[in-house]
Amino acid sequence: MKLSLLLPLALVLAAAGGLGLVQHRLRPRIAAWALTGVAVAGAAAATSVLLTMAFAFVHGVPWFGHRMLWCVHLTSTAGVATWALGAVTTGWSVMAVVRVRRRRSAYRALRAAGAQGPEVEIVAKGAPTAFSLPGRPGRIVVSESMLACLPRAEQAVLFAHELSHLSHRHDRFIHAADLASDVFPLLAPLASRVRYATERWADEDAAEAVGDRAIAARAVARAALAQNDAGPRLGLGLAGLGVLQRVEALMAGPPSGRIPAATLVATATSAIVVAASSTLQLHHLAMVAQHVCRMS
Amino acid sequence: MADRRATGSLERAVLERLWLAPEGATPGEVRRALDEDLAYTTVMTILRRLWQKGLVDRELRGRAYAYTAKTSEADLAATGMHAVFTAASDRRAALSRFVDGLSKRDEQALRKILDKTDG
Repeated sequence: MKLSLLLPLALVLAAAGGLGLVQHRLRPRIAAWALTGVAVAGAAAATSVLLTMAFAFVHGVPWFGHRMLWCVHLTSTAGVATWALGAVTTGWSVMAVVRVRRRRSAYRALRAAGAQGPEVEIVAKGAPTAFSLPGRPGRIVVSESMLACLPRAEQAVLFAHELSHLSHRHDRFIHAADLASDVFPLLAPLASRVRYATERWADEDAAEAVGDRAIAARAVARAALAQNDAGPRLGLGLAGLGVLQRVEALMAGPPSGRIPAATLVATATSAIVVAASSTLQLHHLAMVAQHVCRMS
Repeated sequence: MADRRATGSLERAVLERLWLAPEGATPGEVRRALDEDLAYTTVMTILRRLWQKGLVDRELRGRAYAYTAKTSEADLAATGMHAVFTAASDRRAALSRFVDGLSKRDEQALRKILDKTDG
């Protein structure tokens, strides 16, 4: 297999690793955009590799008479290797389709739940919890037991945080990154990072809304402990991307006014990666077109 | 699918009427109170289904049954929420919780932070 085939994917994974290293120094908003962009570029690169593999397989199958000449340039196989390639290609495609369909139906169900009922719903029963449901207009659900744990100023933090999720459409960032990781599972850590970036983004908005970072930090800490006391549950994210880090980030003081170098580097890197991988994919597409034209 | 959702929202509309009538209402009364123009048998069917689901009580009043709501709006919301929770934990759907779970170490660290700042 030619290196140029895997280059876009390698670039994306390198960028993802790099972004991961600097995420805590980026503004959450920029981190969310950059991480989501790289995840989507990764999914596109993975899809193009998958397509090339499929073509190479068809080319390698004897009774097709080696029609897909163009992809010999990228990958050529013979004998057992062809069938191995076919098996991998089929397995990967089936997995991707199943996972994407499942994700999309879950997302649709969630949006449907967010579209009905009051925009803010206080649930009388149940353990302390608070969450938002995406959609139009979206819905914030909080249990009475959660509100009872928080002083009034901290309740405002909670609502401002969830409102930020809804008004900035954070569900779209998360859903895009989730879909990318469904197509190419190596991108899963990126999806967790996107999730964390949107939480931080909402935390910063909430801190600004109440005008006091310490109150915002305490609200997040107290809510997490209340939820934990009612029934411990493991976090969904990666280690080091949890509630504790959010509280520490809020206590550490506001992000500085000037744009940090890390942000510039991250934005530039993501832009270059997205551009480079799409150029390579365009190149591959052009080769397909050329070949198809020559045949007809 | 669309049909099922339509029935669900009709059931909801009928329930809402019953919440406003604590002394109970007959299918005819519910039908008159509804904004939508529905056949008597439709309303009767919906009420019977609600009764079969255990959401309403009924007693004979004259020649028709009078129905009363057993569940409050909050109960119904909690049931709906339960379904959302289950879906969310099953599929890791794109649901934004205010706070996520904690590890033991994070829990202790957070308690320390709160003790220090609350003082």
